[in-house]
Amino acid sequence: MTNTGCHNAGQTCWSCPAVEFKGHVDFRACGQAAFRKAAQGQLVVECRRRPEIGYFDPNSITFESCSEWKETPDGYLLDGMKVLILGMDGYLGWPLALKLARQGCRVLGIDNMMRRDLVAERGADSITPIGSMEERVAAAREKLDVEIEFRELDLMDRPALAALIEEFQPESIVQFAEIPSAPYSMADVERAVSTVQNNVVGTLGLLFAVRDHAPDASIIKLGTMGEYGSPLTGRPLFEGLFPGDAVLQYQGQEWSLGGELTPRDPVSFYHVSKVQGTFSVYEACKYWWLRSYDVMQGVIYGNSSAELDLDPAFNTRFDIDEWWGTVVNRFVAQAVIGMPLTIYGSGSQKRGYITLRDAMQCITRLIAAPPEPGQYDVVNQVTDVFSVREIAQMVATIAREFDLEVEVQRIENPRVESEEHPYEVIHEKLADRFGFESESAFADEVRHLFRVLLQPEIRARIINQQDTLFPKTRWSGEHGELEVLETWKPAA
Amino acid sequence: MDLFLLGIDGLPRWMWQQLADSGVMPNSQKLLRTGTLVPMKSALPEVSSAAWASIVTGENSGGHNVFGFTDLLDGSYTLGFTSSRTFRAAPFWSRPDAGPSLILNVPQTYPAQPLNGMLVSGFVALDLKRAVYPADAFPWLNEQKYSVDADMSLVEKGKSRFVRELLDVMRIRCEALHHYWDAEPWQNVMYVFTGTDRLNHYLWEDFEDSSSPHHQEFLDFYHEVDREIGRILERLDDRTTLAAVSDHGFARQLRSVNLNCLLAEAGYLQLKPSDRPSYGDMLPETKAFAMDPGRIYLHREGRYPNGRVTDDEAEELMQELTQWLGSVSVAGAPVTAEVVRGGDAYSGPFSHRAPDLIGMPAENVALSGRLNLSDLIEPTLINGRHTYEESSFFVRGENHGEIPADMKVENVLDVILPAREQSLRRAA
Repeated sequence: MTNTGCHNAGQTCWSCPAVEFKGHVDFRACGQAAFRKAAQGQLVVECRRRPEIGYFDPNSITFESCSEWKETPDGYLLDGMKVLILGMDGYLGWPLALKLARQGCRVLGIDNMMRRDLVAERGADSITPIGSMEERVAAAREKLDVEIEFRELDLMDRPALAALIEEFQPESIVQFAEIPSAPYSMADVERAVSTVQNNVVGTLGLLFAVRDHAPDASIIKLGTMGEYGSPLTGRPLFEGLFPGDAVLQYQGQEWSLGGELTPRDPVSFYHVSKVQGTFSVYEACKYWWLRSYDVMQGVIYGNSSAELDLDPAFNTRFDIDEWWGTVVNRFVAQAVIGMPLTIYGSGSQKRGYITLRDAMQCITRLIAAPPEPGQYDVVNQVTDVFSVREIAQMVATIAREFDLEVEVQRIENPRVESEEHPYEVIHEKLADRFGFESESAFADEVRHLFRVLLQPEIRARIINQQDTLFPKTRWSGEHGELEVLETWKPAA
Repeated sequence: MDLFLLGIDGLPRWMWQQLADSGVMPNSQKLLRTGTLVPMKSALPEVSSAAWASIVTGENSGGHNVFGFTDLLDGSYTLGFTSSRTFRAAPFWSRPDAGPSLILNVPQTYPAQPLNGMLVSGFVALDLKRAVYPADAFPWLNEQKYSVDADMSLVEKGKSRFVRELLDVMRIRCEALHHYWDAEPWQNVMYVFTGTDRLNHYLWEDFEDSSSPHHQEFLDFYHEVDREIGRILERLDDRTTLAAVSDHGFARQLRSVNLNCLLAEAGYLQLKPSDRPSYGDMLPETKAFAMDPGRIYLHREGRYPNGRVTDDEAEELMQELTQWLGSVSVAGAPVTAEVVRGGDAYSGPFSHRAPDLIGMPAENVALSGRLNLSDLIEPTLINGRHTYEESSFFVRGENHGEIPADMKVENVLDVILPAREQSLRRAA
């Protein structure tokens, strides 16, 4: 029932972070007021951007009808929306900063630059060269005419984080500042503790800072599909919360499960930290009326976006090693240097996948459609489900287009996981409620990766760090080389 | 001091006299003997925002632009809340000859606007910092835990808890009154007790039912109000014009009827499906809609973005609606006692913004105009409602202007400041 059809056209000021809750007023009782968001009565708000409206009913103005919301390809966006990206130096953080800045957002990013150190510790480096943050910001200014602000700051430095949030007054906060590696978290106790501390305690500190200094900001929290595990019963992986008609039957009785958090079954201490983050955010929304989308992201791959493709100076980092690379990216790198694609165990493990380009669109659409105060919701950010074996087959097939003959190798599974399991991912919200349409198919993105990684200087960088590609970290804590079980050349 | 104007929100004239005579309000008893107490008519509709605006400006809603607590912003469906910014006539303390004024807890003065003196807004005020002028008064008030309003959600925790909150809020406000009274040689002081209105809304049934466990709490609250009135009287000399007013009367409420439900059932109001309906969801086919409490607006072409009712159709439609409102009943009882035309009720530069019709509620009924159409009879803890008749007007002594036989809220200044009002009218 909107004029533009944008996914957020009909959202109202009650979702807008520029609006300040003033109270609930019962006008039947002479404007008797209550000052808690949980109270009953007519909502009364004030707009920080349009104070001339005075107090008003937030449901009487839609994004579509508000002069502060501008139409973009990803829906209406609050003009000059202040977005704080935590972890801006990362694989996701930098492309998001570019995309948002280009769409008119005022972007401030922080990072403690830890990822660069952790990758170097593994003897690896981004195989696409990346500049320092200062160089990246300067390139964005020079070539895109956008101003992105960066401050080196550790999420664990809570006083500094609180001061920054108080000063910047973000309208949206994207939480990417987490250590994103399952094998790293399983390598030894120090790395497990570091992962849990950074991810769990960092997010918890963030929530308190938001409560105290920017309670109307929406929080886009990056989770992972790995939080759900892969239930052997074949229970669908709903989007975080059970649908309204879900029912538990037990001993002849039935209970509704609608709206409850679905079970989590993490598959590493990294995933455990993500689950803890989910609960922290969920509770904060409940206790303090914060608002958040928890993004259960599938395995991400690719290195292209509308902005990244414009100039190599915009490159985002691209890791391929055992700890920091993801499977599709690593397979393409292995194919480029003639190394067999390594499959763990049977290779039947199924996961959800999404390209970097599509993930950036999803996150932008979520930023554009903030939840209401107190609302916690979950999206499964996935476009495809593949088994590892299927991915190896597809990458090998595409490699032939580049005159590369690729072998596939099955090795002993270093992880403790089900290798044979059903996997039904429900991923409807992003398309149905946020207007997401995939812009990049698997094969096209992999072809793009081959073109980039086959550039001689990039290929040379892969060769330089080929020792880091083969897995060594076992979930069991045992040491020693993993056994190669089988090697074959996939059929055409 | 030239003037002390005391407000007692929602105190009916008959009840004040009754509580004074029965000994619940002994200071009032003494006071009422020194002057004239008459019934006064409230604003149309009988809401506090419009009535207080009339009391302090001498205008009706057509002159000061406050028709209720809410209004649609011109040319839009944005539901705004009336405030000191939408209040377009000068209150007596802002007039050139006013002199220094201390204005405390007067409804409809939020956010606080600059004046010669000091002002702390009354309801609806949602942020103390912005309710205070000059700003340097804020720290002391904040330290005293001065409250801009009692928290209505406490009524859900029990009436006794709610009454305690009302008492706490009133005591702190009265302390503030005396604190600032001492600070300057004020020419005008206005102070309004507003807890009385809150009490009446939620404990009216307990007032009427002497066997209620909360009956005595109701009376005790008024006794405390009276004690504070006594403290004020002790400080006033005979040269000060002393007047005491309420903005509307009160009566029992058995049901709150949503006029928009009735309008929708009768086909006058048509809404798009929505989880949280707003006025922007009205379809162009909508002929009329209501806003709290009994204001009815034709969905006129030119006035509203999707309005289609033309001037030619308006007269017939108003006749039809008037007849229909007079005949409609809920729970076997009429909903309205009378329907007044906006064109007959208002005068002044903002009359064109007035409702087309005003439904005056029938006995035991409160009217509302919410767009959530789920309940024709709305669930509420409120059991007392405003009345148009029988608000209180009292003035001490005989040195005042003539009290009209049909005293209305907009006549208050004419009576208590006759010289100033006449000079103002001459200047106009």
